[in-house]
Amino acid sequence: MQIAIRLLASYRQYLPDRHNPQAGYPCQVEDGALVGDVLAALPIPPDDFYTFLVNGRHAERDQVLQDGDVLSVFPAAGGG
Amino acid sequence: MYGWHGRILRVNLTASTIHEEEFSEEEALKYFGGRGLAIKVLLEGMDPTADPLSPENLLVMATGPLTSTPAPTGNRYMVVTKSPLTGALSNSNSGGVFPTMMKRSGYDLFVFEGAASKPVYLYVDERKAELRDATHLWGLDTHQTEDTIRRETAEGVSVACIGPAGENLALIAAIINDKHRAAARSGVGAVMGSKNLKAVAVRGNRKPALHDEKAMRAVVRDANRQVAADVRAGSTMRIYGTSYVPDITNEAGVFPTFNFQYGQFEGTPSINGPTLKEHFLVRHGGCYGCPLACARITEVKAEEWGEQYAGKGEGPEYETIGSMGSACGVDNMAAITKANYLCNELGLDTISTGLTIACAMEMYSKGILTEEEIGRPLPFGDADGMIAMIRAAARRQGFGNEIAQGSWRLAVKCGHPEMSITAKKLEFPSYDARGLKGMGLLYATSNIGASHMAGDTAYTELFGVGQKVDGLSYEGKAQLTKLFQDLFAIIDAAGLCVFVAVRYTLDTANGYVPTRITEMINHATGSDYTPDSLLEAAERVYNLERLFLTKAGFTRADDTLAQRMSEPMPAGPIQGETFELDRLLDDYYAARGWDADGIPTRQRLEKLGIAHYA
Repeated sequence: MQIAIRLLASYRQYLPDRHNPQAGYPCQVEDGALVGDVLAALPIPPDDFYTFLVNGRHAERDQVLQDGDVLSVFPAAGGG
Repeated sequence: MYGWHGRILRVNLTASTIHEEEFSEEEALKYFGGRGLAIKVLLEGMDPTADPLSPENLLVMATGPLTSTPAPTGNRYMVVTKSPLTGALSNSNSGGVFPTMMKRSGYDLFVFEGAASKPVYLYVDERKAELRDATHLWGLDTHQTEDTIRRETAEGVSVACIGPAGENLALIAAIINDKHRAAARSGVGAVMGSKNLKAVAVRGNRKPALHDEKAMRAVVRDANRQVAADVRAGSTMRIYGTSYVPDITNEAGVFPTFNFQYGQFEGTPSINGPTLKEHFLVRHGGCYGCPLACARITEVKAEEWGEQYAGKGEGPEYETIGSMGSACGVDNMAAITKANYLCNELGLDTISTGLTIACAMEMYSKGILTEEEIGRPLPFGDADGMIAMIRAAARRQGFGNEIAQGSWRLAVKCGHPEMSITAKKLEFPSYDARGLKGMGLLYATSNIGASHMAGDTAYTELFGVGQKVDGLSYEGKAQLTKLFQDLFAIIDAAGLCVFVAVRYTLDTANGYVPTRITEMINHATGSDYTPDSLLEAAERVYNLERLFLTKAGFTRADDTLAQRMSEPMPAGPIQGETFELDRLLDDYYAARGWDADGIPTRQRLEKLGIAHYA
């Protein structure tokens, strides 16, 4: 199945070239893949503190992804 | 005394007299920090029912025990007074250079009472304080005021002042320091204006001794190392400052759009951090001694963006991007940046100004306000109309006179209070409460009205600094909001910056324990706080502030928020979501030890040792 991944804020630097940061980049994952599996495969420094949403909502690492889900990931920076 | 001078400068503007008062170490520890001493001064020195714009109101500027110390961004001060916008308390906070210079002028607090018969400014140079004539400054904007005062005083002076908005008693007027920093919220600038106090100028080199400077520096070194590692790794706050946040709030559907009618804005890519960085950023900047340096010095070039938006300054911050951008439906970053410059120059709060204009735009779009009444069309997305309204509000010209009084008064006057997105008449920051229940409870219960700076639970409900909790869940939110209100009281009272303090001085992995702040305060002052006893001191401050509100007539009925939050979000990731205050308020009062009407119980006040103020 296919999901979209959006890397936000300073994580834009890890985006593949020519990818549209609004639409996200499409990513093929196996049926039953967990949020945590996809996160672990992202090109983010392993000891970084980051936050993620699925379809704009709070999610857990053991959540099973569905076809068409949007996984957004950003550094846990705070502020505002 | 360590960490403190132990001195208050009390200025009676009516009598043009200045005198020093001392406070004891015991008082400074019990009524913790600048914020605690300030509310003590208010409770002891004024009638909470007094008219905020009358000479009876007191205005306190307060530094904390960590202001002007090596603590990371130990450089904040508070403005505490009775708010003319809300009738509740003002607890406005600012950084820059002024707070450090104020502390180094030899005082911890300035207290202003009465009102001068003609414009004056206070000049303090190393414990020599005088009131000077400010007739020649009246009418000048904040940049002109600062430049003039610096020319006529001395090298190294730092200035906090009001612009035309404060002079004209705009209820959304700010106090601007160092040209680009604002103690912005709830009309503190109008209080200065009502006192004919144009500015406060400070300089000096008197730093209170620290109890154990070596130990203090060791803690600071650890914190700064962590900041430096983040900055090297490409810290978002260094790269974008808070301007990165629109992408996050928009993603979560809590980015206020068209006066909070929606939670996602189509124009977000045009008004986000990367856009600011690519087109407007000149260089990074920061407050005095800040290892993070999240400020952005910017320029809008006339040849690229048009003469009407041209200017130089700092920002905009996220809140301004929300209030002047998405909330007004404006997707033009040049216009938002110009709006920010103008608010700083004229002395206006960008949040309340933007949201009052957004409120007028909604009423215009729904035919409640007409072109004749406003003096021009004012649809959502009208960047030039927004800028015209800012200028008019500061001078209270034409329809600007309505904007100057904030969205609550405007919406009530037009018979549509539901279009004012406020709590206790203070405009919301740019987080929709429907998607962040802790924030909703914070807005409703805060002693100053809807302010993220009173206990920003978005740190955990959205940003996930430390733990990430579900913003949509009500579970545990009463306790969470109380904890964040108390933590932010510690940070404010200590004289630290929230941005640095939450991430680098709290133990975020273990439930936001103020471990490092406690160590720094103990090393600075010689106190023996534990994280728990420091939180209790913060709770004491919070309850004293609540007592001020109770005495001013506030009850449970005032702990409420904009009606729009109880209507379903119409679209986006949190479509259908409402905010139900009733699910949280009783639990919150119970956690605070307050009765069902939101009034601190005798028992809790006795436990905190402040029952004599009830």
